[in-house]
Amino acid sequence: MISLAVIVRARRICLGIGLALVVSSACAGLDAMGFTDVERAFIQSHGPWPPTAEPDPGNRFSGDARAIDLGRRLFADERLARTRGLSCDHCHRPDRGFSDGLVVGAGRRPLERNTPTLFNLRFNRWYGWDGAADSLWAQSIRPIVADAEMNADAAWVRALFEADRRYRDSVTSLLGGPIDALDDDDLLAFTGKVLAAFQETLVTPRTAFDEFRDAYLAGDAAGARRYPPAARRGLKLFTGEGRCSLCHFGPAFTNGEFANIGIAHRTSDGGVDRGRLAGMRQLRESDFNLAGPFNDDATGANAVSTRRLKFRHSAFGEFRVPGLRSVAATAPYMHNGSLATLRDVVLHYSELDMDRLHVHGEAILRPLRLDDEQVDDLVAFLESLGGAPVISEAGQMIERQEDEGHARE
Amino acid sequence: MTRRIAFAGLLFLSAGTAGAADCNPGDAAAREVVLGEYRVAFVTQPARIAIGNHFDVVARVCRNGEPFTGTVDIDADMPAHGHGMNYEPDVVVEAPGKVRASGLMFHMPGEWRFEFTLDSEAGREVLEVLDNVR
Repeated sequence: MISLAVIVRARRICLGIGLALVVSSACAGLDAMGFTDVERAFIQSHGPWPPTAEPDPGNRFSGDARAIDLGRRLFADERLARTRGLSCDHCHRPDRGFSDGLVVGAGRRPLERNTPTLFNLRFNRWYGWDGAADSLWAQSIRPIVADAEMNADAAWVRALFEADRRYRDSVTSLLGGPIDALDDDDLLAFTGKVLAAFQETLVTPRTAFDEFRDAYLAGDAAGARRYPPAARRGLKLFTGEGRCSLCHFGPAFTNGEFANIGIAHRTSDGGVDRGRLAGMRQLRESDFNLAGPFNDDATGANAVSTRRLKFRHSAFGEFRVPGLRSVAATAPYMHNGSLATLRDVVLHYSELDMDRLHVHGEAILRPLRLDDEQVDDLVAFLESLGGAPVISEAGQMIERQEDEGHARE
Repeated sequence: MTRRIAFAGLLFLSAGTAGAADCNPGDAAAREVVLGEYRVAFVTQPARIAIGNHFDVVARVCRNGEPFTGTVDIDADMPAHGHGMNYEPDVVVEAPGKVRASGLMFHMPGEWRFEFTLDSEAGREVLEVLDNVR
């Protein structure tokens, strides 16, 4: 028998909303923008940018300038791959938003998934579309040894380090000893960690949205008005009626988890991409997960998500919620690259086919039924999250100045 | 087996309302839910739940004013979204009637429902608490 006893539905006035309400008295000039308290709280959650970036406790080389330099060189070195003509930056092209512009990646043969950008990875909890890795360094090992991609192994990488004097000196300097002190797994973990040290630097710059957000929250009406009206209307849809901010939450516009949004999970060869369900299994079986011996965090505190991960059948067909900063630079979209443009993405949510949602799909999803202007507004908002940044000579990501053909700080 | 559910919002426990010292969470910010002879008072650590960050729940569970001696499970879900957490809390009894669940994470903003499942020779009781987290 089930009986309901005391039913009280008091609600917390959240900190974000609370702060927003305090600020609101100073924001009378911004009232015309028409954001509700909830939308305002979401806007607040999408910053500040950039966030404070702490070194990765699981990677003892994180933040080490020598490791960043070694990682940068390895990232562009075709000799790291046994597959001729491949390097990390072959698929993660700096001029293509650290993706490749293709529907699915091209290694030794066409891959099954779209090549994800490398922007802002240091803020992730999970890596890859299926989250099969729980650290950036572990994820960086995967393409090196994958048969369909670089097809190398520890012996191949060791031979590269030993044959190239500059590499040998760098590795020896970082290790404080010779390369042959590392066994094969240690060597792969080391390689992943220096590649991660470099990729951690790929943090996108501030955007028109960030300027708006900070001005809006500070009550700077003049500053907020510089944000294009279409982007502002798109932001209202994104944080309000569209409920996009529920999953695309926080400063990087992702909650770091996984969702099933009705994208086909059939692969081009007729197979089935199980998404997160398969990713969890791979993670559990990996020697390089954070519960294993290569995690440099002696406290193990960074392994909580790995240890407490719930194996859910509902994870079938789920894929990682991507961050949206500089999203305009990373077409095509979705795990299978099936949506060519941002407009296609918005239309996907507008005309969502509920029949394609897995039974365990996010229950709040429903077609948004947007009109043409609303679609344009959402695209304008997404484009305001940044273009195609490039790496400056100082090693920082800066916005590319398309018209002048060069980048500016 | 009897399964009863108590829903509560955010009832903040005032000091001195506990039936016994062991049932008092010792924290004025504790939330409580009561169902018949059962009472759960709990705090989260940290106190403010941040979306996408792990947190603990420390609960005092009592029956008839005495520490509950049965089995306690602690979980949470989003009723409107039709899903729970992506993480399995580790529930440990720290003292009679005092339970800590570690490793919870709310990965989306919105209304979450804490669920305390109490099993004993008297049957199963489920006490639920709603919380709107932003």
